Amino acid sequence: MRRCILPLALVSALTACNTSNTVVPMGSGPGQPGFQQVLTNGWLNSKSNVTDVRQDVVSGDMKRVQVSVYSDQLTSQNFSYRFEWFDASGMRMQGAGEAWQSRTIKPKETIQLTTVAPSPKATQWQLKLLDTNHPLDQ
Amino acid sequence: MRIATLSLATTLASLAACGPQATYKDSRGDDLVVSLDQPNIQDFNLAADKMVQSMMVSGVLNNAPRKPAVLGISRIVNDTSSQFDTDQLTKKIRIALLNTGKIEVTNTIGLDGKPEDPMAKGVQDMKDFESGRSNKTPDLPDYTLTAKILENRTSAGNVKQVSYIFQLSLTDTRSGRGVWEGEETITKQGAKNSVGF
Repeated sequence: MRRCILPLALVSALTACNTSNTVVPMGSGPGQPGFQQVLTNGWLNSKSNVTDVRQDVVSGDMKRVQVSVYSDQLTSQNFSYRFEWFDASGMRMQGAGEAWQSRTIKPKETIQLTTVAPSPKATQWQLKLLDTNHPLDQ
Repeated sequence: MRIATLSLATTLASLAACGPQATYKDSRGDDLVVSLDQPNIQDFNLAADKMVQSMMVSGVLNNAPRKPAVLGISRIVNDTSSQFDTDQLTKKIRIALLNTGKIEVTNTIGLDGKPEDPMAKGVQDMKDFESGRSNKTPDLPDYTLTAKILENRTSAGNVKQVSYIFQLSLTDTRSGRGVWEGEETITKQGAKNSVGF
């Protein structure tokens, strides 16, 4: 019986590891506002570590965001991400840019994820990162 | 011991044989069905998002003759092997553009003279007639939007690859010239349909 429990416990522990990481900017102005990462998944962070955040304004009043992501892995990896936007009151804004997107990142590569706010009222954002090829899925 | 192991194995086997039950999913989530024989809802979501963002980054609407500018939806062509309503793409683009506050879409002027909302057109005509302005020039769109969706298929062994190419053009009706064009290619690869990315 113990032989059955051990693999089951291992499987459930590994499955539980597939949680998301979140990136939140420290300021709302243009330039490099600094950022805070909420890390719940170390494996995901090793292949999608955020190193830089930049913000500017396009089309007069629409905020644009660019996030640099670095992979410390020695093989190509996949991850998915989604930007979520909020108005000045912190209310979630539904709309463009909300679809999950999948990206491939090569070993030791830095790539940029960009998005534009869905509305001029969208002033705050957060980036959610999720694993798409967890070791268990291979 | 042996009975316990056997019953556990039987339970797991019976659960696996049942397959997953139908559940509701987040339409913008990451665990939707990915199919190789037709565009999926997430393909339209992604294409619409990217196109609208590209249009905003270009800043083309800053040169509009009025704000918000009026947009007319022109010909939308589905040139893929799948049959689907192109509103799956255009409606998302319209909603996203309306949310930017930079565009309003006309529903009383449509392709081939057919308004998208005949009742709105009738009410507008009646109001113009009652106010003695029935000969006035209708509120013509400042821009028109055309789109084409293409498909490219290839395979290697049992691995199939399909690309859906979404092409959009925005034309300034003052000049008749294209002032913005966007193209988004979504490629999917695999041996069979699957769930998730």
